[in-house]
Amino acid sequence: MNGPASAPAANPQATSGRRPLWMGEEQLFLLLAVIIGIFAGLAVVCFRIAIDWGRLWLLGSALAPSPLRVLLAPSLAGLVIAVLVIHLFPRARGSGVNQTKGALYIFDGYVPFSTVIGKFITAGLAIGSGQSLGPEDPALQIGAGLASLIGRRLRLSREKLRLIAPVGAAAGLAAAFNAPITAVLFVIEEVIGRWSAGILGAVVLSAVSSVVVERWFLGSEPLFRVPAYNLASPAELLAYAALGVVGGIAGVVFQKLIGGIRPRLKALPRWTQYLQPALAGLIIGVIGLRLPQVMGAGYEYIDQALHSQYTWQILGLLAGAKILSTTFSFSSGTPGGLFAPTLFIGAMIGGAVGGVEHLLLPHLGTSIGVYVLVGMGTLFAGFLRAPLTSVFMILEVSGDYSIILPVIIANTLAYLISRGFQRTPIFDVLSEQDGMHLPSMEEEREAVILRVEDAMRASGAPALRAEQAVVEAWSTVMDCQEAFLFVVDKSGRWSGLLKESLKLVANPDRPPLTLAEIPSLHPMPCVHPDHPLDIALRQIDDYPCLPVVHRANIRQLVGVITLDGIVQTYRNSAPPEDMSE
Amino acid sequence: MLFLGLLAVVFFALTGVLVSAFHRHQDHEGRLWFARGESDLGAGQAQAAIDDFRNALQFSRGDPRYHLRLIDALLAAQRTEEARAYLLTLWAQQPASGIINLQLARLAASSGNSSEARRYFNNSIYGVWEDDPMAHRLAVRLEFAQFLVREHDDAGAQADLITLAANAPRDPALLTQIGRLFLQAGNPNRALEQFHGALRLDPKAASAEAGAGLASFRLGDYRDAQRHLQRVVHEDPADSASADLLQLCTAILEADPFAPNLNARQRADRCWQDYQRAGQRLRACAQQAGESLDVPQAKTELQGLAARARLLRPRPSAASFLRDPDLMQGAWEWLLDVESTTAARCGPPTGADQALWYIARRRHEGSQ
Repeated sequence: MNGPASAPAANPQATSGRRPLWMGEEQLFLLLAVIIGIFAGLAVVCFRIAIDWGRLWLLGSALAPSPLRVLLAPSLAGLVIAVLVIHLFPRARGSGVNQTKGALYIFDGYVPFSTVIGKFITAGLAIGSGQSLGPEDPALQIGAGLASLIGRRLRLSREKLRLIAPVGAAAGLAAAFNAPITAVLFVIEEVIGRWSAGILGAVVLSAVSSVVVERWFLGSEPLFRVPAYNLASPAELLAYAALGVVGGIAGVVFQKLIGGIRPRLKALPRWTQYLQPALAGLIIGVIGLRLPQVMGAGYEYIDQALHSQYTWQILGLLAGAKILSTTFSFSSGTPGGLFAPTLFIGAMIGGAVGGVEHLLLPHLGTSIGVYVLVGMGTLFAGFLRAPLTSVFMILEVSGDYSIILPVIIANTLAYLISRGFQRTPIFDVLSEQDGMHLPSMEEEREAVILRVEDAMRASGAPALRAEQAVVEAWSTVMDCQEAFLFVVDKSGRWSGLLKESLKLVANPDRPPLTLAEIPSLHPMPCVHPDHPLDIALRQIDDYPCLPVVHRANIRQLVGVITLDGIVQTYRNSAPPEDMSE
Repeated sequence: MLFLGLLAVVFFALTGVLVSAFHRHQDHEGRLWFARGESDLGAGQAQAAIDDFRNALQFSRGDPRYHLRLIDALLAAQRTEEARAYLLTLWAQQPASGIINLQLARLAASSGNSSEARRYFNNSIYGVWEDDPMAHRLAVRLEFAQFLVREHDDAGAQADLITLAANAPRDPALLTQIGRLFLQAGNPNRALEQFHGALRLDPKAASAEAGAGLASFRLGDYRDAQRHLQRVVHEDPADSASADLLQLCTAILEADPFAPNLNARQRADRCWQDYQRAGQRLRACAQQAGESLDVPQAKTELQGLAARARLLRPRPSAASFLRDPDLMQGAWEWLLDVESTTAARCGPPTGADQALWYIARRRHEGSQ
């Protein structure tokens, strides 16, 4: 994706030109989060209605549409979508997650409003016509776009404008998913990449307000009606571990397919771009003739799988067919999300694995529906590589805390297997294919944090006490090699002075002085061993070194940190390869 | 900010209009599919009905009728496990629902899970019913009693039926049904009360009349049973079960030497005839089993019975029975053993032998 040439440069000096005088920017930001949540919620309600109405209009009201509609609707809609995406809404391509990350990291929070309109129309048409994609990621981008528009209109500062897109994204995702916790976690885990108190409150507020709006209009019914679960025996956890392994492998296959086919299709001549969504639609139509379940988001079929309405063979077949159809839909550039297909595939794999396990171990008491539920989480963890979100998503969707053990076990295994076979997560692969080098949230999460203890060394001189007589202090340190000495008073405040300065005043002929009375004694900050090295770097300023003190006893000196030591530690920890990209 | 607020209000209102129009459209589609499902289910096309109800449910997932009819269709298509999983999910959402508990009880009963069935039946009886809860609870209680009877839990069934009878409306058909269940649960007394109650409400209720006949028969009141059964057979000669029972009653009444209003001579004559009849049955059975009764040393049960008859003193006859009431007592004990043993060896008694068996058993129970 190319940067928006028309994106107006955000004014770093602008600070809410249209906000009331009594309101600080922080308060305005929180209030805005609520308003963004309301707008995003309303937009997503309209988006979902548009998809449903589109489906009724294009495919009819039966769960198994007529063959003619199944073949024609996705292919003809694909042609229209291709024209719209190529000529009117080029930024509406893809899922929307990376575009939102791009807005945060590259475009100063700028998401063109035309993208919101384009995403709404093209994704609505695609999903409504039966393309194998979901509404969540587009909803996330629609929310981010609305937030960006509101932020620009209110002339927020560049910093706030950058952060406002994820706030809108959380609202959009929460409304689409009817799950605020999942949305907040996903945005933190995959878009922002860090827990920041400054934005967490706003993200939560927007997610909650959008879900309130969504429930106001569409009801508070959960996305799925989940079967009751109870763990009859701890040995059953092994069955879920097996599901985690299968889910992890399926995640890798799905990633490899999308990651492999998408760039090949993109590399084809430009005129083929007009036909790719239609051809993808035709392929899905052909699959849909036998397996209409693969068309669209497929939530109703997940619900059926949750209630054991398919045999394990059908579930396995549906998982495979959905992987293929989603790969073609998404790789062809049709706008739409990967969340719903991921949940669908995971659910079907879960049900199939559960069915086989029931066949092999008939004494397993748990309903296959529970495997379906856990399966959704495994593919979310294995394919989208959002392990924390995957666990909380299942808890939120099921409303059942007792399912947490199977979910954690299966998701962790799926995540580890996926990482083992596919180093780069799917969203990073997609952003690189689009020419955007966005920070990898997984790498950021796992980056080694250098700490003060990594750079500090033992002090060559003991810490002096401020109430100590100068002469006595000099006799203590006169033979030490340290050029800079640390002094601590009774309240734990640290100061420093040069050894030479102490030597000058340590004359027995001069009137007796305590260290606290020496004019050249300078108060200075101290750091703790567990502090990130970054903090020491900011604190050290012009001091030759800083005292590293014990957390339980701040008058106890445990080491010394110098600027050279900090720089050397950073150099030693540099990765072997060039990571400049 | 004010502009944003106004914009939000306008957006809210427009969304409301859109959503409301869409919901109306959905309801319409849902009703269409539901009607089609009802029609298919009525025509015995369960698979088509399942698809129709599923289609209906995508438009109105909150409508319990759609869920329940889908379950009916699943059960009609023999997809029991699917129906059960579906019901359990509905139950998790509405654990107090009478109809969901009833459906689960039926499934548990059909799969032989007695304890689960009892739990769900009880939940259903005390559960929430949206319309006419009294009628629903009575119907469930009746079904529960039938289940308990099938489970041979006579005490449980009787307890349930007593509550049911106390609350049942004055409907002859219902009272007759309760009476029949009382009979099946082994309580002919209470059964007779219900049949009499039904006959008071509708003296021409043939089913209640037949039930009263059977209950009286079970109570050993053969005269009353005969009276009821004669009415039934008179009204409906094709009722072969009642006709057979009437025949048995008549045979019992004609052969019973202990019937009231008999003089000593008549009693002794009947006793002598019954004794001879039992002797014929013993000989016929021995012949059928290939055993000889004239052996010096009894080795089989039948031979033992023949030996016991030879030991009776004074030798049985109409005159000796008239003279010696103790002989009559001994002869009837022997007669009961003959009928019981021959029934076990040569098949159940019929005709006059069956009547003898009933008389002997009743006399034996009376003496105990």
